[in-house]
Amino acid sequence: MKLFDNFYNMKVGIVDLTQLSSEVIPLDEQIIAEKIGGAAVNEDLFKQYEDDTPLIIGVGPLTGSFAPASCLAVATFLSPRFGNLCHVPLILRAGPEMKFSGIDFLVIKGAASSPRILHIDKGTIRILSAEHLIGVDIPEALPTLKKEMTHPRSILLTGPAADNGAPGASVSTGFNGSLDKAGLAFLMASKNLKGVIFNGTDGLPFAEGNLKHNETIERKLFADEGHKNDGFLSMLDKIGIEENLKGIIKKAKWRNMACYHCPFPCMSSVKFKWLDPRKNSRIEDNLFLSDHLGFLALAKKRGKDVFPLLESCHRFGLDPVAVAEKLPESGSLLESLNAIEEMSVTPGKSEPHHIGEGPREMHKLFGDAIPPILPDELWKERVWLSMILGVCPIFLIRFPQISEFDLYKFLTKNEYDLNILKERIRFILEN
Amino acid sequence: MQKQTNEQNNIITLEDLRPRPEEKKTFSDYFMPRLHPGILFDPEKCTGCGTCEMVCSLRNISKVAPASASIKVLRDEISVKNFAILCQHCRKPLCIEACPTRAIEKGEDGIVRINKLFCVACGLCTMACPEAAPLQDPITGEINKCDLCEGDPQCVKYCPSGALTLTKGKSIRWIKGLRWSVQTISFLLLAVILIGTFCSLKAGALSLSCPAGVLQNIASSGTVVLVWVLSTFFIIGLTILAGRFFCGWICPFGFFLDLVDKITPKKIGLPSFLKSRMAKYGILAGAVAGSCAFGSQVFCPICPIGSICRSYGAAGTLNGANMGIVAGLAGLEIAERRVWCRYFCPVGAILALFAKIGLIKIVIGANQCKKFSCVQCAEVCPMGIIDANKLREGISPDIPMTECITCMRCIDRCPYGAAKIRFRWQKAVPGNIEL
Amino acid sequence: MADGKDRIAEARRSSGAQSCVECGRCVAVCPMAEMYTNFSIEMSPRGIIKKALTGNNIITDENIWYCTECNAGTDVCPQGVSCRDLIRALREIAIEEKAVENLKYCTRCGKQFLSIPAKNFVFERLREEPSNVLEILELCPSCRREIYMLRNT
Repeated sequence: MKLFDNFYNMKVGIVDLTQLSSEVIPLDEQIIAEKIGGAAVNEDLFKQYEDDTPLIIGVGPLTGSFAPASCLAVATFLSPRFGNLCHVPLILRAGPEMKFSGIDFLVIKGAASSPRILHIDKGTIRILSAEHLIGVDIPEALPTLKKEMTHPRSILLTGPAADNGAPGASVSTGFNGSLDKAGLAFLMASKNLKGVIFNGTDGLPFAEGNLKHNETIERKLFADEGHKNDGFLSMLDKIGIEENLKGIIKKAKWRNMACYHCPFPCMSSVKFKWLDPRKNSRIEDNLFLSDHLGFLALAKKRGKDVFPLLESCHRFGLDPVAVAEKLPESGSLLESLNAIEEMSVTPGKSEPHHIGEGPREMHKLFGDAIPPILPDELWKERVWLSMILGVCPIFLIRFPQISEFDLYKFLTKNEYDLNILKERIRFILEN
Repeated sequence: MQKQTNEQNNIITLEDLRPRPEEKKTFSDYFMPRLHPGILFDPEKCTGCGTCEMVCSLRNISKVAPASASIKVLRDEISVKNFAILCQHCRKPLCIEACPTRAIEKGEDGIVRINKLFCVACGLCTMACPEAAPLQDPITGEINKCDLCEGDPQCVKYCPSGALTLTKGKSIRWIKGLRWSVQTISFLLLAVILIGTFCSLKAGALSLSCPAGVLQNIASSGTVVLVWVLSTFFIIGLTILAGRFFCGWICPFGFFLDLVDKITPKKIGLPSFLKSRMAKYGILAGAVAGSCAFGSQVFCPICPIGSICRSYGAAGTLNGANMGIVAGLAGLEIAERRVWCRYFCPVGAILALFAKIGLIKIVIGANQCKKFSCVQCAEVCPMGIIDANKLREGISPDIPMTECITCMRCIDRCPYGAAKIRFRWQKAVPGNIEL
Repeated sequence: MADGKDRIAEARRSSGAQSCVECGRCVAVCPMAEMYTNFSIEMSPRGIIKKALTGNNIITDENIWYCTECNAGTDVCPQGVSCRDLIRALREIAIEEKAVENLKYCTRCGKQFLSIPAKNFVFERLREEPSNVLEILELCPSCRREIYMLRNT
């Protein structure tokens, strides 16, 4: 559709890990016209390649554009944890970097015989060996990767937990954790896929007027919400956090971190001091917090030890919620740290585990990591909208005052086209 | 351009075709030095969103492509820090020196620009820049370097957290006027009106005196008179509050030295064996010991501060001997600025001891300082305690308050608000990182 | 040596060197003319292409190490010959076959990033700078940016 000309590369990358081959084919315009993009198109592609247990990563039309928080890439796959088809949001920079590296959708099928890592740049996909990264902690693996690939812009990596087949394995964006609670890392490990690297060196000529439109939206937001923003903490507030927990975590030094083009960050970096029982010394560490539900689960279990425990989870590539379930309520920090290390080397089946009374269907559909801060129907609608258009779901559920038309206006200003878009999306939502 | 087929004298080089423009200092430069605009980056506020890269690349190639921007955001994941690398528009740009086709120029408005007509994208400007700020576009191969968007930088406009700010480079400058006024008044009071009074000034029941003099008094007479000690409290209290403020703003000899500085701009330097900052403590110790030994103040008669106060006698008489001392010691100014104050003054030595436990310090804030591209504070400091080499490395230097005379020339001159006064306990700058 | 000849032939082919008509446009825009006092025909892009085509010991020739890889020659070539690709390939072959090289290595990360003659040119132009600034210039651009960041946050 002419509408999406400036918003897509119109390219699909197909990677066959069994054959170790890759190709880039043009994107079918019909699919885009019907399904717009993001999770909806991913589903189509998934059905197309269903027999090869594919992992589909895709972006939406607004990804990388001047729409606020336009950072999203969606990973669609059959969740080992829930058993159903799942759409997991990949935030930070995965979406824009993939789009700027020349590919809109990536289909990964089959399984490799030895560990591999994908590198995508300037429209070409390279399948490289990842033997030397197996069993290596994530903070040690990252500098090696960066040096080899000359500072790529977005790295999606599984940790040693996935290599050992641990059930709670979770994929990590760099060293920053992620919103993967559906077992994406488990699936990647079963394909012998260690990670995916995007190096976006090109760009797209998004429509000129978008910058002004974004300014209008931002101004409205700033007027509503005020300029003060506490990032991660403000999000925790919205979800609901106990007062004594708040007191404990305020002791660390916080700074806001944002995804691609996000004016209202919901993540933070924290600098905290703790007594490391293994080295018996007081050290200062830094941590990137993006997973709100994971943080809360750990904090509820272990209170003030939440920071070093979360750091361990990031290090091994484990989902904090899965870890929190298995941790003892009482006991020393040392015991907990050892327990986490145990978990990272113990293989097992990826079983459903839950927060509270268990995730409901719609949460399972989106990987069970997006906080439920809106009433059900509204939540479902907004998350679907974000997943199709390619903007951050957390941003959309935090600010329900941004209407769908505000977002459509980034694609077109034409009344007729706007209505067509609305109808198409409604149609997708119904089904 | 085959050189070997031409005679030596007939070679035409770039020097002839496009000569380097002379660094002309116009008359107005003495009163209002040229402005150096720039973009300041505050790492504390940066969230790493990358909007700056987006709008910059939009201006460069009309596409949203963060890799083609003139600004690069570094995101370190282990220490979770964000930093923006962009051209600082240095006062003395290194890229201009290195460009083989002389494509880079610093304009009248202070902006350093690459002229695309002459640029061959060799990338040597990036190799010469200590920050590697010019970026090579991965698609077109051209060099993208910040040109402040001709005065209205887009990144500053669209940064959501306000981490980037544009500064026109105006400095404060009013401290200079204030200080010269205070120095003049102090000189008139101490040297002319209240003759011979710095050493001990009596205003009614109150008396103020020089701590060095009081020390020598105690040493020579062997008795401690409480009122003498108490009379030094004003100046000592002032020092604890504001460092060697006396040296910079009140001392009449210091004022005289500053005037002599103005007429001796070319300094010949001092032999290194004389350049010990500890020497003044030695002289102080010597004065006290000598007073003890000889039973009378040894240093006070030859003290230049006292001498300058005693030069002008009642009914307009001028004391030759005293003036001679003043002139002689002031003559050292041809070697360096404030030589007496740096290495020899025992009064300064006592004040330094108290400044060491003083309340304030001068810091060059890492966030605003432009480091290798500016170094004006180091050039203007009369005590020579701001390490310009450290600044050029990108490190904020440690400023010893025992040497600083709190003249605040650095604060006055810094166009970016980086040089400032802080309380001693306030943490202001990060530490050094070895290469 | 047979291997080397094959690879040189491959380099000639992939850079399009065979199409060179010796018009000299590449020499006219080449910055090396301004950088080196000993700039000669052999050092110019045209000269290197010619020598590569006649195939006589181009690998051991010291002249292939002067280029800054700016690609200006490729931009103006009417035949589309890429002098940069040719020189890059020749340098690679030289390093692997003859263990001859003249590249500068970063003192921090060990990556090579500039040829030594070009680096000498930069240092010659900046010779009045204090030694600690020159020390920073021994690093590759990525390391310089990282050090600058670490020192200021």
